[in-house]
Amino acid sequence: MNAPMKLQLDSDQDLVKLYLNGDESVLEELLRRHKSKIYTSIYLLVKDQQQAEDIFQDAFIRVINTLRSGNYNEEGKFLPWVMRIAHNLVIDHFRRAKRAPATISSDDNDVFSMLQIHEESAEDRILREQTYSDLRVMIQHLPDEQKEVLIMRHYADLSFKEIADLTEVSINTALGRMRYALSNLRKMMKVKEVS
Amino acid sequence: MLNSCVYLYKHNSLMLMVTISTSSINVNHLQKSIENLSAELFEDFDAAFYESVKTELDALVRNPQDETIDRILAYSRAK
Repeated sequence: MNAPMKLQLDSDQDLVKLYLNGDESVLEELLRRHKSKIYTSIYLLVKDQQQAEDIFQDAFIRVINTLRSGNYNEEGKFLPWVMRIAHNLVIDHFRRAKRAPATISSDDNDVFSMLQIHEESAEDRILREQTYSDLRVMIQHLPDEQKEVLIMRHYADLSFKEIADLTEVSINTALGRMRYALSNLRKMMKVKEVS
Repeated sequence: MLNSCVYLYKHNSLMLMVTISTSSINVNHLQKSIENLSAELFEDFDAAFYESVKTELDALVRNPQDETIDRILAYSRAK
């Protein structure tokens, strides 16, 4: 995917305007710019490659439909807008599947009991991917709200304000969830080191 | 018109109270102040650990398959 060089200097807002004026190559550039952030966020939430591919594709089909229908009004905030669409599709996915992803509602849960399960299946992992695999599992063991904020902050590169808007909580709550996420990751890593 | 917002943060067992006052025409500035303040407090608490795991977190980054991208572009062209 090689979008024209000149487009790489344009802002998302400029690219959206060009797309609305019929320049198809712009979509390639928007995808090139944001595909990792959006796809990784979806993948880490649904934990399934095929589901993540489907949700990613559905999200961009909605993006295209909304842009083409003239209903886009995000004043330059393209990535948070796409993330909101993807986030809603992930929620729909879990509703349809009727399986909550290890739902724990409190922000301050003890992670040690969950870690036991992780410890028992660790031997099955491929050695060279051990560290990353462990971290991925640790992220999956975080309570949903914390995992969501960590993923949106780190992978989707959203600000705490944008995360707060997207998840309909205050900035303080989003910030607190990030802190708990990091704190829990730190605890899990310590336990891993000790064991 | 003057707007005031009070924010409470817990830091090293101390409760910090921050009051930000601004005129209503400076709402964007207020929003930015909150964001900066949040970011600063976040850095104060957890930046070191976050920095230490960033590389590992980055290693989990994935990309969609080329076929998925091609289908999206094809849909856009056909639309």
